[in-house]
Amino acid sequence: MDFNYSQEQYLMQDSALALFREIGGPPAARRAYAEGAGVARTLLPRLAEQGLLGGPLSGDFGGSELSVLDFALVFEAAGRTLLPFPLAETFVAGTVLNALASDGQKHRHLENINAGQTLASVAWGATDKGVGFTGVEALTEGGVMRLYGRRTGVPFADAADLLLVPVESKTGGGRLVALVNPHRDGMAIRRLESLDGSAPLSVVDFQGYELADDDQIWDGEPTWTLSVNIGRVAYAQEALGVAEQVFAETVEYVKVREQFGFPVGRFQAVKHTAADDFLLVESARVANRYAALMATEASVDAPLHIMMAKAYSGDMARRVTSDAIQLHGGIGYTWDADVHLFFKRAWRLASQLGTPVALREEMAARVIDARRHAG
Amino acid sequence: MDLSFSPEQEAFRTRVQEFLAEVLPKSPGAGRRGLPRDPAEQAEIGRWWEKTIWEHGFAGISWPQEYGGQGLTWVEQVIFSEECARLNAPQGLNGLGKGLLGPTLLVEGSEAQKQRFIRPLLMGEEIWCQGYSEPNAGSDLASLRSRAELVGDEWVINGQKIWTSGAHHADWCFVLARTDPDAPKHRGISFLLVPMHQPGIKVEPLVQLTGQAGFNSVTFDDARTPKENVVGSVNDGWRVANTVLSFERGPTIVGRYAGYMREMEALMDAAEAMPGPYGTASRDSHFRQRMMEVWTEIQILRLHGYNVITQLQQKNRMGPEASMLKLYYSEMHKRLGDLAMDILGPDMPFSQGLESLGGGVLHRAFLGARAETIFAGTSQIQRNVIAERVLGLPRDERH
Repeated sequence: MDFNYSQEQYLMQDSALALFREIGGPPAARRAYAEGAGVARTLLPRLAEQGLLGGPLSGDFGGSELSVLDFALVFEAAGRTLLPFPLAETFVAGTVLNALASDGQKHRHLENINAGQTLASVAWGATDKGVGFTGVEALTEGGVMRLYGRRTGVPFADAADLLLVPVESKTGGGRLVALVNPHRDGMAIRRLESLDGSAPLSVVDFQGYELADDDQIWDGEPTWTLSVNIGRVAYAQEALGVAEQVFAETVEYVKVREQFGFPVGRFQAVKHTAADDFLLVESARVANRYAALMATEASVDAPLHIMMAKAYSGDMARRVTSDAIQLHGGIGYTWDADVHLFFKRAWRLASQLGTPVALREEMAARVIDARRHAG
Repeated sequence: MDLSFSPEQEAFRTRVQEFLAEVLPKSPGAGRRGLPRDPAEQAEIGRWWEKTIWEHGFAGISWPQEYGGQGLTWVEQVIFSEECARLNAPQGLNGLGKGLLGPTLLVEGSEAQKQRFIRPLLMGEEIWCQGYSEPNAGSDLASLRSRAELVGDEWVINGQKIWTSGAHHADWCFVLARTDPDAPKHRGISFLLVPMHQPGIKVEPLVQLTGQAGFNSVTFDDARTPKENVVGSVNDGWRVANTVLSFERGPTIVGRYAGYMREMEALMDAAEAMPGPYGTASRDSHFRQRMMEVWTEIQILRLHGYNVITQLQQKNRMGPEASMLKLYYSEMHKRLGDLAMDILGPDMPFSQGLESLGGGVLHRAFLGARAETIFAGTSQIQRNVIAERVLGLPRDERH
């Protein structure tokens, strides 16, 4: 029984955190608020240099076939430093292409992803507010497949070179995942005014985009399910990182901020909030750890435990970052203090890839309803 | 990361399962049968259970063999607790002896004390109770006023203890008493072992809000115990008592999730059965959300348990973060109980009839959870401990 990450996994986190602190942190997050998705492109060379873009790839493409469990602590580090980069999406794209793409597709994309030449993202948001296939349809006319429709909440879309898009084929074949170049004809990208400027989001419209045969990954259903599951684990871990960083800063703050002649951290009202938040953070930590393990072992219970971790971590991060504002007092409500960057990032992470409420409803179907049907 | 147990540990689990399959059908309070309402019958079951696990070689699993233990580790202890909770095995009558006194004696006791007390404790022949809280010393335990004075070869004890669980069954009591009234309050306390069957001790039942009398007031009026029955040094009892607390709040929590999961199953059964304006509670999105919240919290308790086992394997003890688990499970259990009652809705006061108060698993959880956030350090005290000892926030000198 060893329910902990390995020494190697912690070492990778340490080195990732050191890099993210240098190139990320609140200053980089603020740059993304001001300048948009392009900031992610400026980070590509350093991330590539440290081998953080090709983690899941096979050795042929410069990676070391890392699992989401191997990489989980890196996502946490990205959350701690508010990294303005689609790290989860890069990892999802790498994992999916490495496992399920054709040789040609691999050769076209994987080396470039690993080298920081290609910035990848994933078109998460369906038009029905979920993460399913709703939104983009494919019509094949005269041997040419064209995409029509919309996906939303797509991270860093306007800076990306490659989007993974779930597509429903209306002319046979079922579902597929499309590899889309957002800068080609037939695409329109509109940046959304997003609360969390550290991760710019866009609406992506497909207006007859021509999808070549070798940009299609069939067996779309399991491909997309894998993407969503890995994405959820990554987001849950990012939310954990966001919360634990701002929590640590808040604990240090209440040790030095004095009122009534004492550090405010001496008062029980403050202590009890901090203790409750500590409990939430540590509980999310074990939930996420288990979810990452289940995802990597491809357990049948994996989706349920991934939803659980994502929902719990989302709620946890929203609460902990909100308490952080409260415990900072007036300064916590200013633009110049960094606390709000964490708060907004937490809410964005909780809202994407399944809100806590939506995830719990899905869990209820698997636990409560399945139990009823089993008699 | 690897959640599998070793082949030896799995073999131990199989042994426990075989043992439970053999003995539980003979137990009146186990499995799907509720405990009898009569407290005397409950106590008999608890006594029978202590003897049964001793006879089958499961008493004191992680304790040294030389004192009657099994010489295994905390991991086997956790496996045993987990299997017992899963099958609703009875609670032994000597929980305080095994959870608190025994581990303390093993660390702080003299060789003679270990030889004298541990084996009868494990055999269920000597039942222990805990004499800590007083009418004016609850969370502020160190302000206790019971006094012990050395007269000749004996300690003579005077004072009153309260909320003393199981004192009416106990043969011995481990008592915190003030032995130096002039010392600062944490420094003048000693940890004494006192026989219960003597004229100087009066046990009076206190009826709990469940309607049952599980705890007591214990009055010491020139009660006596031999001079050698002090654990650790005289006036060092506060530190000795805190050794106990760290055990109390640690590994025994790990097996609890299986019991909560059984309650969750009962809760989901109730949700299927309770009609409401939007169909059964199990189809009402408000209750579905709350059920999955509580279900999640129980699952996470299991995962905290994996974490504890991992730590125990490496360090063989828990630190102050054990406070976290006590706070976690007790507050979670309250939410579980509240949700169960909300699901029963207008039937809450009497669902399943009055029997439910004694035997109904949901009502028992609902009421019993009120105690869990108070005993063994209230939730407020646990939060102070976490804030000060884990997070390093400044201590308030008043405690």
